[in-house]
Amino acid sequence: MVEIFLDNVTHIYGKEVKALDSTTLRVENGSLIALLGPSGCGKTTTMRIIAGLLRPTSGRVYFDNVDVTERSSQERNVAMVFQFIVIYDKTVFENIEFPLLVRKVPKEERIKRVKHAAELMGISNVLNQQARKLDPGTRQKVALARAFVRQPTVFLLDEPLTNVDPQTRLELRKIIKELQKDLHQTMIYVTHDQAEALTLSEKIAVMKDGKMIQYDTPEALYDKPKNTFVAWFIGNPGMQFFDVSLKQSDGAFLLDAGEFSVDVSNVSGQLVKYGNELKLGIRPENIQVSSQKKVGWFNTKCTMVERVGNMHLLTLGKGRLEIKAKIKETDVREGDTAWVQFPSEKVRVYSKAGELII
Amino acid sequence: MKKISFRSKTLFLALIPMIYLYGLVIYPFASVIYYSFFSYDIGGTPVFNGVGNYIQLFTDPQFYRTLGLTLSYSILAVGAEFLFGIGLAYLLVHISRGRSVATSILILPLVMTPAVAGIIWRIMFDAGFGHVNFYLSLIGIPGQKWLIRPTEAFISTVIVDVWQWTPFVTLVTFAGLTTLPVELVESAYIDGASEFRTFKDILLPRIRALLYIILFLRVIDTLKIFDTVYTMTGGGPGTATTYMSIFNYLNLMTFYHIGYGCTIAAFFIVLMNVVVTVLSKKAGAALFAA
Amino acid sequence: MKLKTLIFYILLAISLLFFIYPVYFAFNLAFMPRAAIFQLPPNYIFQPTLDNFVKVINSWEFSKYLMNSTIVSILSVTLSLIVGLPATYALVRYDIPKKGTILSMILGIRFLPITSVAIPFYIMFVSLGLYDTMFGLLLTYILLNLPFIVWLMRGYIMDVPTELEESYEVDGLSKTQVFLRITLPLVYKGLLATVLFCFIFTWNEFGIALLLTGTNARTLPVQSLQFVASLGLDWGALCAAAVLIASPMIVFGLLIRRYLIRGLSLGAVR
Ligand SMILES: Nc1ncnc2c1ncn2[C@@H]1O[C@H](COP(=O)(O)OP(=O)(O)OP(=O)(O)O)[C@@H](O)[C@H]1O
Ligand SMILES: [Mg+2]
Repeated sequence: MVEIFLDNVTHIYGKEVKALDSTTLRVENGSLIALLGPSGCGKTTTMRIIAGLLRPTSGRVYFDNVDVTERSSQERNVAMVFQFIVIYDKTVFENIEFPLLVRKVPKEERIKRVKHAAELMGISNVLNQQARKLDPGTRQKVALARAFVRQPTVFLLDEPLTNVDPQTRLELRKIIKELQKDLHQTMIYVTHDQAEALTLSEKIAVMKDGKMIQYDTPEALYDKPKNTFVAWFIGNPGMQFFDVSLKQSDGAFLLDAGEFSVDVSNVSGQLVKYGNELKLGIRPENIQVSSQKKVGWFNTKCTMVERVGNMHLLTLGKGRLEIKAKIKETDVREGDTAWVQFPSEKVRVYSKAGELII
Repeated sequence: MKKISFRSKTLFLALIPMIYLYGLVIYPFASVIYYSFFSYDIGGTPVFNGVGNYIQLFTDPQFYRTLGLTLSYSILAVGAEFLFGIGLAYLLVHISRGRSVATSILILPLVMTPAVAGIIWRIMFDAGFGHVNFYLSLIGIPGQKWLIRPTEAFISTVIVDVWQWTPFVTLVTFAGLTTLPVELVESAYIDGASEFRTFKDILLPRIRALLYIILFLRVIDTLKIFDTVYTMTGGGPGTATTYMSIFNYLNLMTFYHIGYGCTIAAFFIVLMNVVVTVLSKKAGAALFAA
Repeated sequence: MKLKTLIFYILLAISLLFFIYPVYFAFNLAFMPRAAIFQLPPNYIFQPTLDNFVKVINSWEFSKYLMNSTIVSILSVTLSLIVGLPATYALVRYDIPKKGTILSMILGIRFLPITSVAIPFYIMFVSLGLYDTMFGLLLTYILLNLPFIVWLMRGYIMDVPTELEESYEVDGLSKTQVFLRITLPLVYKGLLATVLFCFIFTWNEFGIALLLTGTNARTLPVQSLQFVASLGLDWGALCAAAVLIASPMIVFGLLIRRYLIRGLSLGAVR
């Protein structure tokens, strides 16, 4: 159990590929955080640097304020599970036992701990089988058990559920969450599945192009995404944006998208200094839609209705604009006229460069 | 005219080698068996001898000596090649530069004409001006009568086999290791295993199938050894390096016993078939899968 | 860490020295003047001479055996290809009963104690008048090359996706055309490597040639024994002969370095 601190870490592969760019990240002692970001953004690189498998090109790595940048994985005592399912050519028991064996843990203790770890993962019944003959889901359970069998300073889980069948994925998500609760272990969990990140972790670090974009609680990421990338990346579908200009009429402040406008009089004060060109952002699930005409709502033409899980995703045309709305119940059908409102407290406003204003 | 169906055409194509096989392996094999029951010397006429040749073979002390020698040669050479070869692969995996130079050098013994290699080693093992003795003397080991004394000659042939075939073990092992995912090494390393432990416990078991195949090939080929030994020692001194193939050849071409030669050949072919069948249980499947 | 790397390099260097030394030794002696050969410590630096080569080439009908080796190697590899390639293709792509057995039997030849199997060839060849003829030697060498051709080409052909061939077939090429115009060009590197591999193998073959040839159809490796008998203590000339026989193979071997291991392991290493 440690606090991990990456201080301004940059990593360049070879001479050209800048995989991490001045990344700073603090993982509090005993917390489970997720690293989230599109493919190639540097998540695995971050993990490998924390694990001590890679030495950063520049920057330092601290465990509990001790500089461990120069220390090997073994000296850092980390455990890591990879996306590529790593299984040794041994029985399940010997697989899980391996880290204890090389640490010369006494035999009885080994057996006890292996059995316990296998129980946690629900693989006690296959302990004597050859691990390589098992299905991917079970193999990954073995790899996880091998990580949980010892007491490392930190668990690094790099997309551990990506190559696993959906059934096992749900099961393992639950197990990992419970283990984290019981053990209060520092865990870093890499995923590009935001649902996974949102359900598992206390905090999420969103990365892009080797940079740490926002590090926050799931709620904050959802409610107050720091920039348009995070806003768009989180959510399904993510936040949508409209280019707007700030207009004043009859003492009220309006964000005018041309085809429609939204009243923001209550927060207009902060907006003025950002100039005229702004971006209005709103999540599809925050838009209100009705088939009846309502005062203050604007009319649109519904061009498509899709079912997404138990929700309806409506595509609404308004002139040259297209609006996506996600609602639970609706009587709007394709071709109908739909009346729409953007609740002003749900509207987010970003600068032209994409930074959050309100 | 009826068009020949595509199916029969492809069947025919596949069968050509088989016809060849039957013509040039099965027939000779049958004829080996046939002549093995005859007393038949070069220039003479075959006279039926019943199991006479076999009785001669199984009561021939030289035959048992040859069998023992061949087995010891095989075990010693293959054992050394695996230890040395895998050790070298370990070194190759852990260095960062110079791999291509190393692999180029390792290719040399493999492509060197074996008969010629035998001759070169024969010169190098020369007791008087041979370089082997000279370099040994530099590290304080007195000169040996390499090809003159039986035990030394035997060891010489093993050394030559090790020289020629260790690179094979090394290069195959190395090639196999480079196909393994990096995560495997990293995971073992994070789990706390040393480099050596990782190599021995994690990586080598992963290329087990490959190791079986080369073990199989090496055992077969050492049991059949002929060319290097024949040009280096001619099976001597005395019969100290008369391995199975050489024993067979000498009886045929030096002593002119065709019938008896066929008896030895028949025995040897059957023996090799048994060895191949036993050993190929594991290696065969791996070869088909490759 | 540094020390360990150093030790690794030293161990590696010593081992490599062991493997390269006999080759270096042969080349060294081949160019050495007669007087410098029987000296210890060995001479590493000297005025190189071609005398040894001249001596070998001008006598013992070296060029005749060189021709023999070349012709037998080229022809047997070519013929084996003609027989083996279509068969391999058929064995990979089409439904042939007992495919596995056919393949194992072809591969099985590789494991036979060939000097023993060749004894009846000797009897047969003597009675058919094929003893000590290039033709007879050729026939047997095809037998030796077939397993390699079938097994190596099998791997390369299997690497070509079936879908690719099928799509050309749908576009109107016959199966033969697909094989000749699509598949072969795709596997040409593998084919070239296989050809060179078989060439090396045939050129180096010793046991069968020893058994089945006399003075007429003899190949270089067998003739090298003759050199030992007649040159005896003329190590320089002996090494010159060795260099002449082996160096083309060294060149070929280095050319197909990567494929060589695949060949020697019967396709187990990719
Ligand atoms: N060994 C390497 N050599 C060179 N470039 C590399 C290497 N490993 C990764 N990269 C590059 O560095 C960048 C970051 O890679 P990284 O593996 O950290 O991404 P990631 O976020 O884990 O992606 P994914 O979601 O696909 O796993 C990528 O552009 C990748 O191509
Ligand atoms: Mg990754």
